Amino acid sequence: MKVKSGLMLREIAGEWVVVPLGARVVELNGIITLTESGAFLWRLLEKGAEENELTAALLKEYDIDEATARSDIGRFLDTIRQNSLCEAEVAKEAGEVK
Amino acid sequence: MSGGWAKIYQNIINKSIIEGAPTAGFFELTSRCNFHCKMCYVCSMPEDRSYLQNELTTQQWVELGRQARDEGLLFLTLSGGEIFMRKDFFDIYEPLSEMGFNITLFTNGSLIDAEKARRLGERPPSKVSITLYGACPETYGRVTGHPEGFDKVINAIKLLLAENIKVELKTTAIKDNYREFHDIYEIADGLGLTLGVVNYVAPRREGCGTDPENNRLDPIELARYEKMLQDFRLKHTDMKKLKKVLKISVDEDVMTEKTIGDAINKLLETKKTDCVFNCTATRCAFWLSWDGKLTPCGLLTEPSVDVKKHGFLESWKHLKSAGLDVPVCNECNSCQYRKRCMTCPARLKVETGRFDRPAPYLCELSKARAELEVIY
Ligand SMILES: C[S@@+](CC[C@H](N)C(=O)[O-])C[C@H]1O[C@@H](n2cnc3c(N)ncnc32)[C@H](O)[C@@H]1O
Ligand code: SF4
Ligand code: SF4
Repeated sequence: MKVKSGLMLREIAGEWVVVPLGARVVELNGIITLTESGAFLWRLLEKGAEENELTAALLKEYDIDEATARSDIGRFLDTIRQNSLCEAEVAKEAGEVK
Repeated sequence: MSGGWAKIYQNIINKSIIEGAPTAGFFELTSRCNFHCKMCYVCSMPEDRSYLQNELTTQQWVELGRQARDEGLLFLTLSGGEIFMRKDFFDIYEPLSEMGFNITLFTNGSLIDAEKARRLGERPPSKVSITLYGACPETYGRVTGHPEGFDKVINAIKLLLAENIKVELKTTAIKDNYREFHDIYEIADGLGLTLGVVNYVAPRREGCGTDPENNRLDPIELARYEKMLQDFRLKHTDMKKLKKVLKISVDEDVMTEKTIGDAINKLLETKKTDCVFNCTATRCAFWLSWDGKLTPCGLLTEPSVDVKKHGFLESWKHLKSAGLDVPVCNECNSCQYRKRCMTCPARLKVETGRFDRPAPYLCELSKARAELEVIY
């Protein structure tokens, strides 16, 4: 999955936020806040990363077990999809996640 | 991920105050204006050369935007004068809109035509905040000197809404328009928009030919006006049962920075601070004037740092430390009317010439508020 272009991840006074740029404000007018690990995943999603890569990276970076990592990532990706923050995927891929 | 605009905003501001990061700022792109409102604190003539010459250039604004962004600027308001007086407005706005800000535009609306609305619609700001100076051409004539402005502004609002741009209205109450409040409210309500009321009119900071002090409401008139707003609010709250949503807020003035909420006051108690500003100014907010002076807020000309000389980061550091030298007003601190008063270092300074001297206008207003039981 890849997050859409025109969404800038910024760290403001220790808080992670995503701000829509230019024309993106048409569809998303506001600011999204992310946790530290959310921002970590976001950076990987900017380059386009599949769920397995995200899980591996999260396990390497944070001291959590795989089941927790998978369920956290699943929820995170769902939220991203629900808010249309990612580039369009083919239906099959979307169905695979969870 | 979490939502809720007010919560997100407050949280970021809280953190920024603690970090001393410049998260909220005004870029005053010009002091020139096509209107000439009687109470304006800044307005200069549309094509005044001496002003034009000293305005920061297109490139300077864009570069300062970049520098401020790198230091953490997030909430950016573009104001004037009238921002659309600048022929290069879009050359400044469009690059800024790609930098990662949440942008608000302050404008009188009168220069926004279909083409400008369309262009804004392509890269919309987070919101456009328009001041309504009256509910008819006659009142526009008396306040701004431009009766034809009324129709233009109403048309501009409709054009912006048609482009799906978020619009917010406010009105600044002076002798010539305060009786028209209800009609102004009806216009806002009819368009489905929120109306903010600017109730504090400050003495002139600069500019020419305007006279805020003789055109603003007297303290007693203002307290009565506030009382009227309070009753109006109550009445409309009852009407909520009829599914009519109340959309009115009192904003004091828009050039001072946002007041710090209770939560942050508690936070600050645990972290010693010598800063006497009871708002975000110099803590996490700044004003950058049309000629490149970084100041705590739009009311003040000092403390001031020249960004052309020092660049953004150095200027912000200077401003923060200069903010600490602003003295406290002891009389205000021990005053029985303190809770009803809108005293702050900047208002005291522009009213009396000193940061630490009580301002008669504010004192009289507070007493009148107490008598009329205006809840503040
Ligand atoms: C200087 S204007 C610039 C933006 C635009 N020209 C407008 O009128 O909305 C910014 C805001 O300050 C308000 N204002 C003007 N003179 C003022 C004063 N002396 N004290 C407080 N607010 C004032 C205006 O009514 C407006 O809402
Ligand atoms: S208040 Fe705004 S519209 Fe009126 S003269 Fe000042 S800058 Fe112009
Ligand atoms: S300005 Fe006057 S009324 Fe307000 S707190 Fe100071 S002394 Fe009291």
